[in-house]
Amino acid sequence: MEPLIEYRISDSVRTLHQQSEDGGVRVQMSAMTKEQGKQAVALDTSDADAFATFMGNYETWNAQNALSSASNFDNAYFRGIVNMGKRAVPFIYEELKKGPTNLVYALDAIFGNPIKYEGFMPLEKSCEIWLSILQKIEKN
Amino acid sequence: MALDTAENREKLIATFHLLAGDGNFHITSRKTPSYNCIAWAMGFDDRWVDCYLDSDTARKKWWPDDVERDFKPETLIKAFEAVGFVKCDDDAPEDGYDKVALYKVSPLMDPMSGKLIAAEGWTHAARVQDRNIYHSKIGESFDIKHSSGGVFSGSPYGTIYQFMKRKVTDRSISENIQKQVPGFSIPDDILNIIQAIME
Repeated sequence: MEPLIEYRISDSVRTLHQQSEDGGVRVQMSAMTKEQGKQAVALDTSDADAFATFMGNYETWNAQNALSSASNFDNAYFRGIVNMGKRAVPFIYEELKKGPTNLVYALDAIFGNPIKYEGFMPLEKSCEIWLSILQKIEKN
Repeated sequence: MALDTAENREKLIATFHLLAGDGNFHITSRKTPSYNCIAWAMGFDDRWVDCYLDSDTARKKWWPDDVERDFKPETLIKAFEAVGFVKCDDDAPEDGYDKVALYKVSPLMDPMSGKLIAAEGWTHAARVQDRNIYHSKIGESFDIKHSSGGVFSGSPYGTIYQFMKRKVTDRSISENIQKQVPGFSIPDDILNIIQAIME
């Protein structure tokens, strides 16, 4: 069966398949780590929903803020990403790997602000810190 | 990857309509959320300079100490003064000085009731690149070059209300601020904290 979407998280490859089951259509995500050589994580339809929810919030938030000189993290769509909790983390991680993103502030909120900052911190540095932490989590 | 493409230009023209007829309009950098227009005009490329208050503002945005956090046009002038700029009368190039243009929107009144719908407020700042050429960062989007004057009229950026200038030798004020290394601490058990939530 042809994958509908394929995306990579460093050592793992995840594919989204569409499967017939009892005459219906079921969406399933799976992940395979190269290190383990076996299926490590199975994500069901709810995670496909999480992806759609995340992208809907992220794209709308971007559309509302992209040209503004004043960033607004009280925005309902940014809060929507934070409210997704851990379900948003894999998608934020993917965006972090592409480059600096304000989504890093959602990670702070989701994990209860574990990193203590002494005042202003450049976005790029914040993203480096969180990226290194998530890469360690992924390797563990 | 090409930046100054018709597709990218259209994304900006959709909001800033007068750019469509501006022969000086060019896209000059990739999109980045790392800095905004105010930062760029002040001489920073690593920070978002913004007074908007929300949760944990101090860690996300930089604003000069001792300058109030509000959108009054005179407050943005004070913020630029804090990094060495002074008011000036025009955008004519002047040897030994960098110049910037500050933009605001005018108050919006309900024509029927006369009540205030939206307050006056600062919106944008641009570097004066040369005679009739400005260099702007557009929110989290691209850097662009564009004509001076009213190219943002009728858009959310509004019109110019103040020109300011700073000695070229005083660029070091911003450079020294940018060199300051911010402090932070990561708890020893950070991986456990995250893994516990992710499980």
